[in-house]
Amino acid sequence: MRRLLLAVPLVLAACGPKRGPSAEPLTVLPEFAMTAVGPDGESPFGLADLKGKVWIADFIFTRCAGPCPLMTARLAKLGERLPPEVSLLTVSVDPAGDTPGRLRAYARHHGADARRWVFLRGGTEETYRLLYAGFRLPMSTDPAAAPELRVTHSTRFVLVDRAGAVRGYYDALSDLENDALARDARRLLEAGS
Amino acid sequence: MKNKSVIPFVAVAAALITWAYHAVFGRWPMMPAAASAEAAFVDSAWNGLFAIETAIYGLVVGFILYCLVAFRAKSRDEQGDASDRSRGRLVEAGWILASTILTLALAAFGAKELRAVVGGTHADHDVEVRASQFSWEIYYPKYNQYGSKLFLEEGKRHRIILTSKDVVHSFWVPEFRLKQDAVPGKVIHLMLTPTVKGEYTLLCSELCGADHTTMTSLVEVLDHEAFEEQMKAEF
Repeated sequence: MRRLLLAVPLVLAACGPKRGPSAEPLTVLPEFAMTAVGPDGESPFGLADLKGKVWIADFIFTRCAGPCPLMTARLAKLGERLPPEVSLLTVSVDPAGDTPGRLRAYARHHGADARRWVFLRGGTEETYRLLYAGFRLPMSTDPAAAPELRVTHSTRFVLVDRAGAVRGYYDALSDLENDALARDARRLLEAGS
Repeated sequence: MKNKSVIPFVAVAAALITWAYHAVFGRWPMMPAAASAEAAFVDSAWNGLFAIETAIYGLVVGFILYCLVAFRAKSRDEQGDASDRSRGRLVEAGWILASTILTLALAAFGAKELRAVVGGTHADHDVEVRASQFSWEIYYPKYNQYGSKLFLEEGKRHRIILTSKDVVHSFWVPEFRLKQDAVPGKVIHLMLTPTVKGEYTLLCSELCGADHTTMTSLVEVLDHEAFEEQMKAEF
């Protein structure tokens, strides 16, 4: 019986989808100039800082009354599951509201490990440009809305390779897609790309 | 009311609960009418899962109801913590075995259905669908026709060649039961065989910006003559 039980996850894993990261870059991130907010201060952060590492990126704002806290918790969980060579990138989509102090408190609240998890903020225009021209994901701001509803944005996680190219989009709120993302990130690590 | 009555009680309660669910969802269906060959596979998987899940739910809830009645405290003295310390190996082994068989059977059934939905690569018509904020552009290479309305021929297999000009979008016609991301930098094929003539709505099901909810297009499934006629007409 014990052998049978051990075989079940293996059989199920073998039945699982074989889809991997996109063989070709879906889009290449442009040069950008943002600020990384760490526990001890801020530093400039751009494309050159991304290159050479595999990243999982997401987009949130700290006052969000919607899915952002859940996305951040799920990103933290992915970080626990994956080797430390996979870095995590959280981009604020509310540059006006997410002051460095708020972003720092948010990172601390979610137990972010500053050695591998970078929280980014930038100017409004630069943030829009990075999302639309870089990650190819939408965001829109309604200044008249309540602060916790002010920004509408994608709930996708994005897998970025060592060359700064997008290799996949995954629904942050789906367990299955989170599993696929973890598998694809490992494949990118193994492939050295 | 103990031991001997458990099986008939649970069976009757489970049957009643299952029947009630099917009566409610039979009266008010969860999904719009199916209109593609692929939808038949999706619906059979959905209905199969629903039947199994309601039966299991009925059994579990039926057993809980039985326990509520059979093991209730009849006096204050009987209240408090009491537990059954028997190992119950047979029940445990049976439960694990049944769950394992059910999971593997459903995985095999799902794989077969998925294969049927994706199918081969043969297509009667190629249709290029390009998504951009906040509209759909449709191109029929065989007829060299452009438009914003998606015309499809009833009973024919279409290869939807899906691309995105800007951000991630998603092609979705609920009646066809197919949903596919349109990802910038990628050409994605979606095989689709509409089976019921009529008008439907193509929706973008991935948040793509401020006017995402307005990103719709009309879909019309026509018979052969009407489709050929449409392809010759001005869009």
